Amino acid sequence: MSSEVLLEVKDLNVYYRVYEGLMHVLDDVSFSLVEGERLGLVGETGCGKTTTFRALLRVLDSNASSKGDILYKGCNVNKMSQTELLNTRRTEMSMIFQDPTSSLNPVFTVGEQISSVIRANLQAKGINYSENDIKDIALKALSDVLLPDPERIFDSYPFQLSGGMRQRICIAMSVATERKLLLADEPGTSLDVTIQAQILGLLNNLVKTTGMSVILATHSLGVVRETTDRVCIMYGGEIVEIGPTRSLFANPSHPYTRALLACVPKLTGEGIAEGIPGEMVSYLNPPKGCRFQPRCSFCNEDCNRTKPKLTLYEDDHYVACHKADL
Amino acid sequence: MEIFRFICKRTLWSLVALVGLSIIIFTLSRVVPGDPARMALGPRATEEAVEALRIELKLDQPIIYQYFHWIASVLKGDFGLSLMTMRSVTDDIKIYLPATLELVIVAAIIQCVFGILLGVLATASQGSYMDYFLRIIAYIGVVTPSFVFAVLFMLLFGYKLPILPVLGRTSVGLGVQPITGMIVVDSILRCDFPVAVDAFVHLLLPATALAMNGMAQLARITRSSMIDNSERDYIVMETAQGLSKKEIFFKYLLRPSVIPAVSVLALQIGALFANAFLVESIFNWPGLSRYGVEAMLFKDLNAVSAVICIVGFVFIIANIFVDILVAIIDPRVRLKAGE
Ligand SMILES: Nc1ncnc2c1ncn2[C@@H]1O[C@H](COP(=O)(O)OP(=O)(O)OP(=O)(O)O)[C@@H](O)[C@H]1O
Ligand SMILES: [Mg+2]
Repeated sequence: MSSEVLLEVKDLNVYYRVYEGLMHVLDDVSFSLVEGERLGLVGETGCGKTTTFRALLRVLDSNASSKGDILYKGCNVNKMSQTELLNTRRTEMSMIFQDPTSSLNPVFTVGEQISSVIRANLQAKGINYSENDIKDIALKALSDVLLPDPERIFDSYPFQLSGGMRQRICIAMSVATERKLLLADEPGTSLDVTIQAQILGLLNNLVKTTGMSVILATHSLGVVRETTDRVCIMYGGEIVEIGPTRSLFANPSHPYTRALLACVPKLTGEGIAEGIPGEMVSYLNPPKGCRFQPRCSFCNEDCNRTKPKLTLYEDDHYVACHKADL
Repeated sequence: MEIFRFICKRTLWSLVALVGLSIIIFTLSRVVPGDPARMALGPRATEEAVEALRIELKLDQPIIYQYFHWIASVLKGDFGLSLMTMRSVTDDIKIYLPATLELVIVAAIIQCVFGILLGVLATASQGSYMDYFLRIIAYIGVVTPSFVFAVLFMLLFGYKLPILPVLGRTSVGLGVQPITGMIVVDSILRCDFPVAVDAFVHLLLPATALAMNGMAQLARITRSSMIDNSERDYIVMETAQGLSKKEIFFKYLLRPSVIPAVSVLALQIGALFANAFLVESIFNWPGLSRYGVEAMLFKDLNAVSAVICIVGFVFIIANIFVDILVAIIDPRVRLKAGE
């Protein structure tokens, strides 16, 4: 594994303008990623995983504004020209969207859609191609994600396919042509466990053979534990803990991470998971101090007043909590 | 192919609708108060003459018998005698229907093409002055009745700035031996191009006046559905995959967005016939809508039923046509109906 830094995100802030006011969702999100690395992004629903991914590709909704530096190979995505941006999207980064039922255009065949993506990629690379080449690449991608009968699926419309099939099509679209960074947003949610394992195996394989990096957003701690090198725990739009997977699972130090780990039903069968009491932060007027503080049983005055910064806890393992050395 | 199955199925359903329509028309025409025979002959006719006409018109028979008698002759293309013109209703319709058909078809084309075009233009320039301008025009277009446009156009292009003809179907002295009765079509078929151009120019103002409401409505529908769809996941996904703005806008966004506009077109065709009456009167257009209203005022039952029948029939055909169009654009309609 080389250790060239591929992506560096510095103080990324994303706001959504809504009727009630301004939602401050991502709050000073910073992390980096080296080539060939697999980073997990974990957090409960609404914590801003999808928002982070969409900010990286500059495809946020029209009511959103994004501040901060996203340095991809040293270039700031937020300051790129349209052509640079287009090239980055076509050849460098790609994203697997979370919701397979709405991520495919309902009135075009799967083949047409996947071909468009491949065509754009080949064009950006300046490769000469025929329509047959494109179809071959598409069919290969479809069979790579274990879809039966790729020829038929190529000519089908999304509504003729099951949710799991559509999810695999979304995955195929993103990995049909080689990319340097894959943003995988819950790539396994509508797949059954065996297929999910196979898909994750496929992504792992791509990482090994092509040196691609992956950021994997998921709710599933089990998946993260098995398939990532580092994990980033997100709470309410902030990164609360980030570190090597092994060290983080062995030594969770943020109260939220601990609660999250405690939520996973133990295989030993200690009964039902507890859940984390309290509600998600309100992005409209987030607490001044720590965003987790209202739900935290360890908090004190400090947590109320000042925001904890990510600080080194142990080797490459950072945590943002005033009471982390508890 | 699945599109054929779709068309067959759709046509069969239309037949059912036609039978329903015929029953409704017939019932309505027989329950209106007033004695048609007396109306036809006038107050000074003798009781015997009126009675004779009643028998001739089969008005003395049971209503079920009257219905089947009527249907049988309608299927033969015979709508009976018009009490207003004292000619065969079928002959009257042969004269008036093509004129209206020509007007409505051109209006439908104008409103579909320009409505969607303006909607796309407004979306492409969303937030700019162009967008505001088009939206204001569209508001005005929706709320203004078509006869106001007719009068306005007439004053503007006929008198203030006389560049277009405002009365009749052709200039005086020009004409063509009828084949379909639609002068533009006939003159093209007979290779008489000066007449074709003349007839087409005569069509422009009335057809545009008639099209204004629907055009504005379609522009609004197209714009709002494009803007709605542009935040959909699939458009975001296509953007994230690096497809060009042009490809996304004109291919992946446009196609799903015109579906609601095209569907609405089916309903609008009914409104076109209804609005055609005033436009025809203003432009002195010898059309079916005008004929129909006059027949109604005259209590000319045969003519009224014939007009409603024909308009209903045309409406159903137009609906089939629009549905096929939607099925071509939207695979969900095409393939699900074929199951
Ligand atoms: N266009 C938008 N306008 C307003 N608020 C938005 C918009 N998009 C997302 N949000 C809000 O931003 C927050 C983060 O959303 P995001 O989709 O990033 O969560 P997530 O971590 O991906 O959740 P999940 O695990 O359920 O997918 C949520 O509270 C959501 O309501
Ligand atoms: Mg999400």
